[in-house]
Amino acid sequence: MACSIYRTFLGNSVCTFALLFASVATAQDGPSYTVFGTPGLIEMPTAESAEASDIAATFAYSPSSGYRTSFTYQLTSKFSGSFRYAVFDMYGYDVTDPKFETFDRSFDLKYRFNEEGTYMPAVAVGLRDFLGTGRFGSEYIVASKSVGSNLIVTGGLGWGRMGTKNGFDNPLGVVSDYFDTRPVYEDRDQQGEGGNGGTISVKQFFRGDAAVFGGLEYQISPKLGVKAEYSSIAYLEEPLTPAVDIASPLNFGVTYRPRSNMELNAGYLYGSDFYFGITTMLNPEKRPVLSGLDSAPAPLKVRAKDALAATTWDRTNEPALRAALAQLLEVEGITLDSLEVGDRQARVRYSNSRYRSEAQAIGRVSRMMSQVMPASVETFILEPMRRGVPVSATTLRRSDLERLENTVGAADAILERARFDPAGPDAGLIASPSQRDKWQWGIGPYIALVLFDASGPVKADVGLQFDGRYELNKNLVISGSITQSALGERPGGAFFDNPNNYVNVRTDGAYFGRDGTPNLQNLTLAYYGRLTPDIYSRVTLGYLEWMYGGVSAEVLWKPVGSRLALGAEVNYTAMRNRDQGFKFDEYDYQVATGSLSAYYDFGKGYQAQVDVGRYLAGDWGATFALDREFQNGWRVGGYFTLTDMPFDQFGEGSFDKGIRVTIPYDYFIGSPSRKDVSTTLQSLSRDGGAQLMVDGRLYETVRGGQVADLTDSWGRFWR
Amino acid sequence: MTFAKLRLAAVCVVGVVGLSACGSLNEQSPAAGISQMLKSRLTARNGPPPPVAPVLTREAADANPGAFMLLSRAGLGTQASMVTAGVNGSKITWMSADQVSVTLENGIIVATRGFVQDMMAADITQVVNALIASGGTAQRRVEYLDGLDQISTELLQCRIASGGFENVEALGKVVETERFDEVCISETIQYTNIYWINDDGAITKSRQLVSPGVGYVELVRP
Repeated sequence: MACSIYRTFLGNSVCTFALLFASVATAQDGPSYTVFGTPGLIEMPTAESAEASDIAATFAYSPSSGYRTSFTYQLTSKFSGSFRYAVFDMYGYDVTDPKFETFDRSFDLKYRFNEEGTYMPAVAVGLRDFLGTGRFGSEYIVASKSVGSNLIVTGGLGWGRMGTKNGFDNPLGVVSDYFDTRPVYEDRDQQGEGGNGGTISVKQFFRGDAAVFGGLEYQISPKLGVKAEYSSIAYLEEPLTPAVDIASPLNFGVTYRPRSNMELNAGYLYGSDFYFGITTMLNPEKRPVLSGLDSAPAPLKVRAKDALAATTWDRTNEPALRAALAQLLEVEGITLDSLEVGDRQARVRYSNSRYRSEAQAIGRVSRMMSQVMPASVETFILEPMRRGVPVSATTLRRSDLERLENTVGAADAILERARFDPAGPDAGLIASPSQRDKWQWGIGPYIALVLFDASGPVKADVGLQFDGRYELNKNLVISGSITQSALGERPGGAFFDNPNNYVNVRTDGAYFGRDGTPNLQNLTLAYYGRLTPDIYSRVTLGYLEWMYGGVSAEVLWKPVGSRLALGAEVNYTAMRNRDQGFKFDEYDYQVATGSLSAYYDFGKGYQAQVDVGRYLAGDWGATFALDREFQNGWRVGGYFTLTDMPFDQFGEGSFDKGIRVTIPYDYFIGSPSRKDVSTTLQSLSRDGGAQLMVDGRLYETVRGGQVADLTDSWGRFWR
Repeated sequence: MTFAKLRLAAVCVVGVVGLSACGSLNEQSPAAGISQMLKSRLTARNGPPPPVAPVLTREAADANPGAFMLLSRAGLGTQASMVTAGVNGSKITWMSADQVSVTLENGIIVATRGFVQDMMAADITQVVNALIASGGTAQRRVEYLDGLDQISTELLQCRIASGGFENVEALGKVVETERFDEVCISETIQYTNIYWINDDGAITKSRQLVSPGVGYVELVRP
């Protein structure tokens, strides 16, 4: 059983799911999907893969096997991973009423060895539910071959649950006796309830009886297909096994694709039951709005030939020049911070609040500079700022811009000629009067998903959210947000018991903000600074997040062009009261947490992070994260945290782990925006490996304006 | 809280019923953006067509020779008049009031900005030479901005041939021209640009492809 209390504000998770399910025609016609949400037949896999980077969300239901919600991500053209949430009955439990009491989370992996050849079928190997309690735990090898253009024939060999129908002695027994018997999954002393799950069941892999499975898929028309399979899952009546009545191993299905990114499935399962499923597909690489809906930039203003000889300019025009540049940048949603104009060179500091791609902002600022800068100024130095701190300096030659504008190869050529340095000193820069309101606010609706509170597994919370922000100066900002639920007072408490010897640092989250009064989500004073050209700092003070208040301090070493960054964070926090007011006396729990972090950009879109330190429950350990990042701002990644909190103390899941997705807002909306929505599918909010959720950590703040990120979206420079 | 602020809050709360969000911090919020997107979709389906930039008259065009260019997008039925926004050597960037720009070199599109799929740049030297020679073959190199913010390059083989003499209408004036068709083929796309060239050798009217995602636009020099 996987249990989590999961709660986000601002409706991020809801937004992300809505976006994933939003029908944007991007994905191609790929293989059809199983009720397990993976490419394949009905319950059984095939050797087919989706298109690289496809993300498929599947919801499937049948009266006897329950609900299965799955996400499959095709990491590469051959390798895919799936995450699944299933709700079903198990043998050994009272299944009369209510039905579907087991909530189970599972992970799959699949690797395809080869492309199908003229005679050679595609062959793949896979693990289903390999991490966790293994309710569906299976391994398989499968081969698929198309016959003609409309028929695909599949045959395979399964182990574990897939080896239960007409199973026979494991053929791998030839290699070693080791494979002959499959050991029972060792439950770690959880009151005989079936273990904590969450650990890799390597000891079971490919052991015990094997069984064959197979099937046919026939595409009647581009939209309509049929499939039939012989399933090797018998759903035997054993303890802790999904309870499904099987009358026949033959399953039949119909698939219909009304759009290339949506598939509807229905059919007859187990010789006794109907099923239906819906899959929507999305591909981060295929932005529906293509280049985006940004309005055209002002073209470069090219200097007249006879003006090029100038080596100096008339300083009496300087105030007008500053005002003009500030005004022009405002058109682009860019705020001029300060400016230094010499005879031959101009240095400008600004913050861009419109463009996700800081490279695009650099392109726009440099064209605006060309409108007003005196002809003698040949060098432009652009210093984008994040949270009031300059994060890099890009040096461009004005004559290069003039020569390359609107020519083939211009993006690469200007990148090659650009120089990237740490941002320069403050000395020499003359500050521009702030164009922006110091006080900003917003009021709007929020939707939050509340998982596993006392009232049920999934609940939506809706209400109003007020955000406010006051800039004391560019480095020092007060900000906060207050929510008021429309649901009024609700009972607190978690769906599951959470017995352990630690303070319930996250598992008591289900008691927070339930009294129907306005909830202070956060209220902080945050300072950002730069200690040396490569070292950045942050101090955040106040009600840092919905459960904790205190102080958080961080430093980050992040040279402009470095793939490696190192950081350190120290927090001293106290647990807030459940009413999310100003007090801390209910729990009287204070804890010092912190971490040392290393970040590494492997290139090709892979980004890793390791944090070592102390977590909220006072446990010590490390978090490992790997994200695949697309140049257009999408991220898909995963992480896990191991700490000295014993697995049986942690409870279900054994340790914290999850999958996270970030979708840039402009991917869907088209208009330029710096915003994105993120969500994490995880067993989070248990007490082990729990981290403080402080806003605006340095690495994400700084990197967007530095070389790696600039290069990623450099194609937008001339946009 | 002042009265003005109170009223503003009231307006926002009313807005919330319609699931919208307001305030400077919410300008780019997903909720605001999605409602905007839905609104624009609805108006696209039911509402009046989007407003057309100030209508250019024959008189205005005659009074300012060479100052205007008319842009229409195939299928949309809208026409915008564009003015020169920048000149870089032989490349002239024309911009419309709705913030779309088209850069022309000898009347041939070499870049666009503000379209859903922009042509970032094009090398059309050989096309110009073929037009000067009244026909022939040419290689075109065109760059687009793709969904991953990368530049993708398309190499096209083109054949240019005269389509005979045709009179074309340019903002109420009939101009004698020779029509040239440019058929371009690459591994992935095929399209035909048409140029109507007047006695002075200038392109009076043309139909040219911006990108596969945008399709053709028509340009008229009034």
